[in-house]
Amino acid sequence: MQTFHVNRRLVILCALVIFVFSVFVPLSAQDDGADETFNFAIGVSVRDLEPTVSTGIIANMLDYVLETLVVTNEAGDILPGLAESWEVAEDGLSITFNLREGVTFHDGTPFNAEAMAFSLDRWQDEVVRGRANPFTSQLITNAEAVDEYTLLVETAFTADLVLANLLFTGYGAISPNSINENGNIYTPAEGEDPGESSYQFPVGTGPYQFDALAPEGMTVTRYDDYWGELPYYGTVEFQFIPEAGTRESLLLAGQVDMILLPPVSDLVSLEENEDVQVLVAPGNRVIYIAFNTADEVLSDPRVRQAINHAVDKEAIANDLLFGAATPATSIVGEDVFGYCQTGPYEYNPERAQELLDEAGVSNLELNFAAPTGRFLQDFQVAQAVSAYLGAIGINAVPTTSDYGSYVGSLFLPPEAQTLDMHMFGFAPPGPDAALGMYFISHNSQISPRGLNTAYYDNADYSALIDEAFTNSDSEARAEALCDAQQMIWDDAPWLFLHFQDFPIVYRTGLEGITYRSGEKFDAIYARPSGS
Amino acid sequence: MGRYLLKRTIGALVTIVGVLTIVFLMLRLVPGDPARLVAGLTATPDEVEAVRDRIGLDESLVQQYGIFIGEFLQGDFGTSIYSRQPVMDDIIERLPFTFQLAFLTMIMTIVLGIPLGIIAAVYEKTWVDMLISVGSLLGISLPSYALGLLLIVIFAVNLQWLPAAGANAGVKSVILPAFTLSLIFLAVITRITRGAMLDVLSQDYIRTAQAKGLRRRRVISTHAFRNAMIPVVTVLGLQFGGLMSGAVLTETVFGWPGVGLLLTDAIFNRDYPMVQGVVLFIAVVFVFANLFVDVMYATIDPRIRYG
Repeated sequence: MQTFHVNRRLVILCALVIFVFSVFVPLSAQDDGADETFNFAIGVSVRDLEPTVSTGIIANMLDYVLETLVVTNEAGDILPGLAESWEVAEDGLSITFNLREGVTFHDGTPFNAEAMAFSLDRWQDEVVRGRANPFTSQLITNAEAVDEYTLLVETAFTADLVLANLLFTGYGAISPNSINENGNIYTPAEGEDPGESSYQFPVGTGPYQFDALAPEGMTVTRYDDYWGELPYYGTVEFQFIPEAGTRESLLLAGQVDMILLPPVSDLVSLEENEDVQVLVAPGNRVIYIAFNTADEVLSDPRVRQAINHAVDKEAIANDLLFGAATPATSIVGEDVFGYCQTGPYEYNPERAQELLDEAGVSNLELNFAAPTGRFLQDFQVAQAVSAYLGAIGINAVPTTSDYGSYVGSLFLPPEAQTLDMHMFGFAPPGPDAALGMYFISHNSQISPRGLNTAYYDNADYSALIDEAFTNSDSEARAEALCDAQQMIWDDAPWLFLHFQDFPIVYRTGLEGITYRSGEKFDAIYARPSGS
Repeated sequence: MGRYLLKRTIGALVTIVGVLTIVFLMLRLVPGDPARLVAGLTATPDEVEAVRDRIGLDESLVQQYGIFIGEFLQGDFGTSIYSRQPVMDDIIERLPFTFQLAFLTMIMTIVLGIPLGIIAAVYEKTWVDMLISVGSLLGISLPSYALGLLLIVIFAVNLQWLPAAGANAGVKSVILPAFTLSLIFLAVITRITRGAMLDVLSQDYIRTAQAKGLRRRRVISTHAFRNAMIPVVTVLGLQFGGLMSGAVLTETVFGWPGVGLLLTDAIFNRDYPMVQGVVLFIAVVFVFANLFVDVMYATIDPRIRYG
């Protein structure tokens, strides 16, 4: 019996030693960045990594893994990425890219023109295309390798516009050998069989390689054969934390290094907190309230201009959004190609009243709807607008519903639309004014066909945008876009509110964290200060 | 007992189909167009139509219902409109998280709630009783949303004892969400225990036990406790079902990737098959937890027999 007792003690001792080691050893092994993890809390739960349908923050996460031909910076310039340089043909409808040499995919496959053409041609594949944005999928008509590192891309629209779109992560290079590996599925359509494509294990050329996607987050690890500068952190862990207040707490507790989108009402206190740094990246998502221009009263531009004069957008941006917004001076943001300053509409209730009197409108009642929790402080802004309108005798009390129902209530033909005004926000798919304007105001996009939910039907305006889609002369494009911006500003089919900023907060003691045009963070080269 | 079980199981199935029907109708009768959300706001009408066709929304409501129930009976819970993964795979992937949370919550509720209830009953109408009653009233009145954030600020941000959220710190991660969730149920269990104990303590046999000279501690722990547990076990069983749905908010606050968070995402995305799948899952847990409680009665109270 004695031996039994000794054994039991031994077992307990061993268990204790193992336990102690398992708890403390990983903590003491952190000497350089390769063993360190950058923890990052974001607000979306990601369940689908297919690059061609990725949006917003998901695309931003994939940017760690996938690289595109061209990249952008804080100012929205188009810069070399996987392409070192490019030439645009005379007609503007084809681009020849000279690709970077010595680049490899994470699975060892060499990156070359063939691989890039494969990645772009994927958009033309019915199996993949079924899910992708139809506008984006028709931009490129053909991509082919001229030689090992020269790629010819034929486009449906002018090169300027296509280059701005090529920044999208969905156009990133993926390893041709990866589409049937690691759980990725690709079966081409054949006869009756529609085929299948599921690309959930991205293999690209980026500084990080994809490791795992789990219900609680996504992990990427450093790719040590990366062609460019190696990042500091060996591992980056994205945690999915939907609640903004919780993300903020994680950061304040020191359990993550960086968060996106804290509660805006806390921006001021975060800025005063020495433990964290706040980076308010300017966004180019325009927030507006669309008028039903098919309505009898609202078809008069004077009424719409009056409402634009009646609302103090400065005050809304400063007081309701705590400075995390820039009042609109045009329909598109300042950092996109073709931006032209056309505003603001001065806050002037007397002028508003005059315009209403001129139009012969009094005791106006407007049906007004706004979403809740979709855009920064959206319903609060709607309530403020309602109060401003009350001051000039317009009764417009906002109603709200869940986002699904809300969107449903916008995509209606004019005759079925009962709303007089509704709030919405739109971010262009690339830093080009034409992309910012086309989807929400071109007359081919009038709801329910598209997102022109103001029913703004202006043939001259639409012709100017068409010109910006096709003209290969950048200056002429800019001119057409400027004219169009002035036209829609004066017509005022919307109450132009503001451009929503994109707040990023990280712990003090880090550097190398920045942003890129179009609501994107850039923390790939984050590192402790001084390392 | 066998006949009783069969009867109850059939009843449970009918309840589940009823729940499914209501969810099916509710999802489809609210305004809004999931095809539009899936296809994207800038999609063309053709694209939206193609999506509608793919996810079967172009059929009539009756046909959709027929297909839905048919597939359900074959054990097919459909495919997520968004991730295109089978709904069951997603739920199963997240089950361990939810069960971990539910398990710890249940333990915390029992370990804290029952003793608190007994103490409140024993010290009836003293300040101890008052304190416990007010405390449990607070627990039940505070929305888990506010409570969760409050606990995060205290225990994670200020004291730095526990992770604020997420699921990457092992068991430590689940303590705060479980405690938040247990506070809601704690209130119920404490009050039920207190009530049941008071009931039992006023019975004749307790007086007899005391009169024959048994120590008060023994009277409470053996004679009163066991008999007071019947309503407590009932409520615990019912709460277990409620736990599954109560976890929805708590999981969202804490970013705990269980079934509740899956449901919140699915509702916002109008992911019909996913919402149906998760609601079905919750309904099944609820119904069978009830059934289990009924069967357990017989074990606790030998007087109860089912014929």
